Amino acid sequence: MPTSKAAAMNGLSKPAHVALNTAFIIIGLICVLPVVLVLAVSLSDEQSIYSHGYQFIPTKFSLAAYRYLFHDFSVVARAYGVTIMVTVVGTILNVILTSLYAYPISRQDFPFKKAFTMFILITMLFNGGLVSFYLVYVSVLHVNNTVWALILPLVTNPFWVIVGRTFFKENIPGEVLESAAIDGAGELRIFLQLVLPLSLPVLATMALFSIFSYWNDWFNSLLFITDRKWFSLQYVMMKALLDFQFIQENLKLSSNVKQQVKIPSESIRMAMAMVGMGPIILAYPFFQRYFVSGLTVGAVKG
Amino acid sequence: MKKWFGWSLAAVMISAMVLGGCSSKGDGGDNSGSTGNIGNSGGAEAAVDASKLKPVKLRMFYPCGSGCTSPDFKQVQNEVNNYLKDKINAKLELNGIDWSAWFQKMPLLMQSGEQADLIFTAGWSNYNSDAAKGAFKPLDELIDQYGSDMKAQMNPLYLEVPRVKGKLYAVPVEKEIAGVGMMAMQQDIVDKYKFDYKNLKSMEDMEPMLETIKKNEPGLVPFYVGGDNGSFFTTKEQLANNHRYTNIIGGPGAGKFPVIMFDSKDKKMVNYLETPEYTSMFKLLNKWYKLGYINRDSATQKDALDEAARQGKTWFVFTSSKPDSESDLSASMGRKYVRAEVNGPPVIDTDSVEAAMMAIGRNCKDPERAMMVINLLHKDKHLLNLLNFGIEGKNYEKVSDGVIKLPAGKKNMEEAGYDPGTDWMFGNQFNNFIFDTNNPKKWELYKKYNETAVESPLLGFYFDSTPVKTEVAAVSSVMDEFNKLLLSGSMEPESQIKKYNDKLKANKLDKIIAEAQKQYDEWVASKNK
Repeated sequence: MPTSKAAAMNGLSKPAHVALNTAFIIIGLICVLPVVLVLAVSLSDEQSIYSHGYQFIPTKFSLAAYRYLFHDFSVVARAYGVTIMVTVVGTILNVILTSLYAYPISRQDFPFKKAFTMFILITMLFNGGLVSFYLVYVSVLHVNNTVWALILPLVTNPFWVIVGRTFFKENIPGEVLESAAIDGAGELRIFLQLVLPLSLPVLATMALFSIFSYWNDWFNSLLFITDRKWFSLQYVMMKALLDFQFIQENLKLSSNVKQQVKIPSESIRMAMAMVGMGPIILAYPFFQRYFVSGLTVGAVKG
Repeated sequence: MKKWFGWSLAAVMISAMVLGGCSSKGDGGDNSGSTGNIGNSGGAEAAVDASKLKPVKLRMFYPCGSGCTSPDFKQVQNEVNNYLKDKINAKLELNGIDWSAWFQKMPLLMQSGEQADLIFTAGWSNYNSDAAKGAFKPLDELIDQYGSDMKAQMNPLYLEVPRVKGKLYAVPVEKEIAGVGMMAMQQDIVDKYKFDYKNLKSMEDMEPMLETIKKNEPGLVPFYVGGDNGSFFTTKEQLANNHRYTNIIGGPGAGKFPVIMFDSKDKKMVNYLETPEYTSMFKLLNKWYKLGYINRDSATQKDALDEAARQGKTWFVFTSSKPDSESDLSASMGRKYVRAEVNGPPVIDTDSVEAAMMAIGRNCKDPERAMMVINLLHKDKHLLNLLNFGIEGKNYEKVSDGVIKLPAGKKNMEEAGYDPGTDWMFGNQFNNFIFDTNNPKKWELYKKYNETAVESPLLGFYFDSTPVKTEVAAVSSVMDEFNKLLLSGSMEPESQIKKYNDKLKANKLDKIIAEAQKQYDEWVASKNK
């Protein structure tokens, strides 16, 4: 925040100030209001949704949706645990592996730099398709129905390897590495004690995106997990919504089936969205300061 | 490698001969006598000495909704395995796949070569194309050797219809094999206005009823249209034509509208837009829309008819008819419905026979044992009911032979701890327990229903759309574009139908029709051979 004196000297004119602030308030509201609405609907009485539509202030307040969700508490709690565990373990592995790949190929004096870069680039641009993807995990690695099926597919991302490589190349001056080497540091020590501390912004960014991809992942559960104890949170939520929709749309089967699948109502859908959001909305503010410092590092250098 | 193969082949053949001999002996003898002796277990598996069989683990896959998260699921599986150990020394690993994942997971599973021994399949679940691609093992010989009990008790139709190029790849569930659409109306409304719902002959007969509803019930939509309209259409088509037409593309499973239909009078494939019945129906819908019988948002409304009925927005539903299905419907909707009998006898068609089946996967480790399991599911009451309803005294309580009730204080099966929702998926439904709330004559009614059913002229015919794949895709997108509008009643039908038809023809609908006709003619020729 600029002080009033500074604002007077090179601040904005008052109309511009107002206009900008209004614009930001509107943008802010556009981001926040949907979440508030989802929360409000999740707390509304089902019948009042049908008669009045979505409302910011529920005509009739009800906790039925949350009660419904948590009466299967063990399932939701278990899925929460799986997702948190996968996110934590996966993100740690992700950052370690990605930086371990990115650092060597950022070094000019690494002999196979080109080959390894090409290797990762190819996997970024082309993929073998779903069947081969599935086969690798099921028939080669045999990880289906284990927690590794949720961790391994997302454990590195070629895009972030490339980003990391660029960061190391641009922001870690070769001279620093050289001086450390002259002082007698080995490669491992250089990496751990010099490169990594200097690279916190990029590591934080990798970590944040990895957290998001692990937290939001449902596809790997869908493909690899049939044992319900390893279902991730997002998959449990998604399947509760989709099972019924699927039967409605695809099967003109005996009414038996329709009766078997529980019908999630509007308020339950919204309650699921709230529960699914969980702690992840706190992740961004926490990592934000690294983005700021990441920018600063760039600016000082320039 | 080759040697190993030869030896194992020889071993399999020898054991097959030995076991086959046993079972055929049992079969040749008085079958009813042998089943009577062993209570509810069958004959052939009794001839199999469990202790001489090597233990084997079979993996079974079937769709299963939230029920497979039941707390007692694992326990039931253990119980099943204890039981099977004595019978055929096999272990069953139950893999319930979520409904929403079924169509994504199963193709991958079959392509990956993962071990999948018993696979649930059905006409709506790509049985015919999977079988043609070689995903399943042919079953004829296996049935003769290990499924003789099952074969003896079954209506031969079950094992005739699901044939692909002459070979059988799956065993259908013994259940109601005929289908017909039905309309059910809310009882309070029918009573209030004294509607003559029993003598409804056609859609037009509904007009006075719709008029009354519009005048007196402002809260109800007289004729609700929404969702994908699928159930509405199959029913309508049958309503007016008394089974003259059968859908070829867009059967009941696809949730799609028919495009090609088989006209059983002329034995010809026809474009549905060129049938007078459909043209007049679109006109009727448009008229009703103008009269205000149909909800204004019919073209965009996502909630299907039964969903709207559940919410109390309308007063009738279309559904598939089974004996006593109005009471099932009333239970699921939470209000009383009566059956408005609308059309002739139920029809046995390929879809209704293939509605639920069990196949043996291509890379099954032990097809012989897998067939024994299928045989048991058809024959053995204990096993079947264990799978469907769980453990006695824990998940249900016995009232009398074959009749059960929920444990005291439990409102539904889910609360009772085991609710897989599979009671229509396996074996012989007539061996299922019935709840004390059901009609005690349920299975007798089902059997009678099957007996009164008539066979569709297309029974056993399956249209393979692969030769005209691109045309079907193009036609489907045209259908998506027009159907919603025409079905909603909000469009002027005359001009739209013409436009629609021109566009279908431009996308080579005629080629699909010719292909269907060709396949039909070949099928007839092969049948008469």
